[in-house]
Amino acid sequence: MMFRSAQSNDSPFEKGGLRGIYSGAERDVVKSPYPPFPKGDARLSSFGENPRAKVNTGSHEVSMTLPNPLPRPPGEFEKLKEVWKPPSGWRIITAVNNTYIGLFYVCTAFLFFLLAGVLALLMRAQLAFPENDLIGPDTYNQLFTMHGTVMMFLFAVPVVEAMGVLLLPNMLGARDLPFPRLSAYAFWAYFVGGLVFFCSLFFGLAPQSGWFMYPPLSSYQYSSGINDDFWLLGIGFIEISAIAGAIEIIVGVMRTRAPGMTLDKLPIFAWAMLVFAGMIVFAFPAVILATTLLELERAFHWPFFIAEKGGDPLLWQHLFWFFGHPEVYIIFLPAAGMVSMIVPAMTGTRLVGYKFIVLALVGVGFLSFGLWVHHMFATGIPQLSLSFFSAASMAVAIPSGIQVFAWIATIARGKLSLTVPSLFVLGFLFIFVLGGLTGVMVAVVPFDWQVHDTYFVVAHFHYVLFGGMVFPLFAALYYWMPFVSRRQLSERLGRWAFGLIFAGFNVAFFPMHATGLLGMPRRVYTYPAGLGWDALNMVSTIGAFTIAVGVIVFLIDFARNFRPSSEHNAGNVWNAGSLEWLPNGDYSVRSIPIVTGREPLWDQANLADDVEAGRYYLPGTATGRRETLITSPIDAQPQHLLRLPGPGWPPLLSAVFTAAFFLLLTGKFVMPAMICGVLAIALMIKWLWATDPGPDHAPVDIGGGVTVPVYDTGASSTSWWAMVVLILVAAAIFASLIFSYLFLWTVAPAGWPAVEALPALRYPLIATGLLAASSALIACASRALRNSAVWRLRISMLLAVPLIVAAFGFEWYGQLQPGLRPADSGYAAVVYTMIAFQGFYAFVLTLMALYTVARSFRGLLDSKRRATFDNTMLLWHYAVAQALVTLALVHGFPRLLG
Amino acid sequence: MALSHFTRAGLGMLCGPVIWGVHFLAIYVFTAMACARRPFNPDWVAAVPGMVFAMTLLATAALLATIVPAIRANKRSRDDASGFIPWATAAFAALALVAVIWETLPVLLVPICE
Repeated sequence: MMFRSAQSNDSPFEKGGLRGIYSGAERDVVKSPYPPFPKGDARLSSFGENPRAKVNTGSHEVSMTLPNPLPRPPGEFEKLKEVWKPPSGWRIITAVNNTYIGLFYVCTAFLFFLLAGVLALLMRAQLAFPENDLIGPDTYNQLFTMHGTVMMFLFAVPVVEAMGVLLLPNMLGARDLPFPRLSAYAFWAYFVGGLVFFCSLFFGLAPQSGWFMYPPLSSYQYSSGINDDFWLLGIGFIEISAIAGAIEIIVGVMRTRAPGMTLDKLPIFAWAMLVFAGMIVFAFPAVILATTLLELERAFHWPFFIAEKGGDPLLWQHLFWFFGHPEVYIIFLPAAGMVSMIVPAMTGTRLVGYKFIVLALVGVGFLSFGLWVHHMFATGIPQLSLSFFSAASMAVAIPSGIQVFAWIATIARGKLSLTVPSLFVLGFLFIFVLGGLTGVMVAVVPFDWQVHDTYFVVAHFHYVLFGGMVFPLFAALYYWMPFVSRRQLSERLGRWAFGLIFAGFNVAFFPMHATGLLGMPRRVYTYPAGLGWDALNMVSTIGAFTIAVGVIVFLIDFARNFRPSSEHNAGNVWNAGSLEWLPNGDYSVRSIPIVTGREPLWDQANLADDVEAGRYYLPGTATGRRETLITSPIDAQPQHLLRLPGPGWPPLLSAVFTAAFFLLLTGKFVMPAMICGVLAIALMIKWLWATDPGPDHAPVDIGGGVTVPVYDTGASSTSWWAMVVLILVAAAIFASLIFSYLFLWTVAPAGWPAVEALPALRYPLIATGLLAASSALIACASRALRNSAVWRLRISMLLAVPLIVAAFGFEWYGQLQPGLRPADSGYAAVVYTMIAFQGFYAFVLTLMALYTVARSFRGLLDSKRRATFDNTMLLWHYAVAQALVTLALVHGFPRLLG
Repeated sequence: MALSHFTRAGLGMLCGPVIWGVHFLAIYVFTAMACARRPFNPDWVAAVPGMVFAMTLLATAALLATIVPAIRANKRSRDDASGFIPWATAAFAALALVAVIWETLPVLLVPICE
């Protein structure tokens, strides 16, 4: 690593960066170490009396001036602690601090791991002997469906998201994530919904069509009970939770980094979480749409997946696996990020190939979207198409291999301490590489045909998922326990846990390769004796119970040593170099450091002491409330101070009612479900009401003469960023819907109407005019707000609402005129779904417009305090654009075909 | 302005993977549609190899147009921080180039619709 002197500032990539922080060894005096800030009210001052810190640049040591002098004013630290203190007693459930929500999240996800593990043990007990009658076929169907669903949706994705919520703020030098109540909402929706969903098993109501829920088996003809509805609606709240978490993580990583933490200094775990969150934004929409379509088919008989009515079951597979394959990497990449943090600490050396690992993370993130058909090799897709996916499946081995070699090189360069985290990392490397190798085998189409739906595939994906995610997770639990607990976990018990889990895993799953090659299919509840499967199954069962014993040892260790505490945690027992190991408390770090390297605790002498003493930025609370520093996305320059909310009931209650909405709907309790839905929305509005506080506080001095505003609007505001990410999610859902429309046309072109059977052109033309007019009115409202013309703003918004609703009404009515009904055909179903999405946005935007106008009446909206309006405006224009594309496709495409 | 810097850098970094994505979707969708509509438009199948090669040429040209300036910018950069984004831009695009070429090769080896 090499730093240049203050004069090296002519690169376009450095403009406005924290240049000038460093001085060369030959020049021990730093000029002004702080950048010019973009705001007019920011000011610079000299602070020559401030203390200095030594920074190791690798080749030499340089001096850096610190922003805040000592001693700190009396009461400053106490006030900081006071505002960040979570509620005590049972009210702790209303806490929103990332460390508390993160811990709740990790523990809940681990609970689901245990529950799904018990289901696996039941299955293995059933399969231990041929023709065993311990569990009947229906229960077995529920067991394997719930095992897969719970492991994937309630354990794997939430636990890595939870680790992000728990670790990222401290790792980035932030006080918290930018939307703490969103994190709390996401957690509680997941907690309540997940537990109720799991309990469906005890009433014989659990889904039973496999975790990927293929129609036609899962449709109304063959699964008429509400079991599969539990899956479809039950994971609705998990999808919401995952997307809420992804928004939080993207905005958190991009905007709350410590000053100086440019992208090349971002911890690898943060890179991994960024890619993870980006993948959720583009992968989850496909499954959101798929579950919506299947539920519409089950509830209202809209035939998306019924071949005789112009639907196609393969549409489900495309949509599901467009989510499902990236899902594997959604789980794996954060785990790889954890390994990349653990290996340098355990070897005492920097990670080899940092930049190549970033390349690998981003590369895997993208390439994984080109693999979905490799789950569909046996569905009759043309050979050349299969080969494209086969090639992509092999190509993804390149970035995956880069990471593995980088870890091996780091271990080779340093001196690996064989601690428990190291053992789990080594176990991960061994198992994951084996899983990767069988992955290359099943990427070869003819081989895949041979082992399709056999235990070979079960062995392969457990090697990838358990090896690639569960082993790193255990490594992470042992590694980061001293960060959240007064005591670290026991090395002795940890070695036992590792040994049992590692041995048990290989005993359980390695034989399954052979069982599969001998022809044993997946998902059979029993098998006849004498096919050569008996002994292999018995060995697998012994292995599964050995894993369970290992997990029990871990639980004993956990119960003995886990004593949650931020302020009095065990501390940096590994001598690691990343920021989460700074002394911390409920407020995260006492002062927000300036980062000069990838391992700040190794590079910056006395960093921990200086941070704890309050020598860096924002050593107290500048506004008397919770707050975090917002920095620019590339250069990590301080931009403004974001005031953060404290504990409260609305996120929790809103989440409970959201989960209740979905679950009651599953049970066909429509009215109670609607009441819960209304309550959920009302509570959200209550929680949002206090946001967008406006510039009601003077800019604050965060140290070093740096003054930042405490409010921002437009593209610099975090809420704007969140809305943009949400719009990306919406656009991805819409893209999946367009794909569905074109896919059904490809397979069933006869269902597309002749031009004379289409609605008269006046309907789409009128709808287009209404949509354009509504958007124009919103643009007019924006200008009015800028000019403080409040009545013009209110009237424009209130007029725009009926226009967008009427556009939806005209389009729906227009389709009804030629006699088209949604249940008629795949074509009709997909057309009405596209229009229904338009209606959904009309409903949401009506609420948002009324909310915005209500704020205007209460004096909470003006030319400077306009974040609420900006968000409504962004979504409005997006919804209009989507509706116009819908109209063009629905009315233009059939006419184009002639 | 910070955001425009971000937009510029972000778009540059994602250029390679996005080109890969567009290329991949284009060759897959065209092949799938040609095979699905073979009874109605048999000419489409014959056009598949040419279309795939044309898309590959276009993608390769676009990726090289991304890689070369990024390498130059990286050489001009003075430290890790300023060189990182051009490096990432070039590296992501180079990986995308490998994937694009690799995914095109089956056209030479595999029958189209059988």
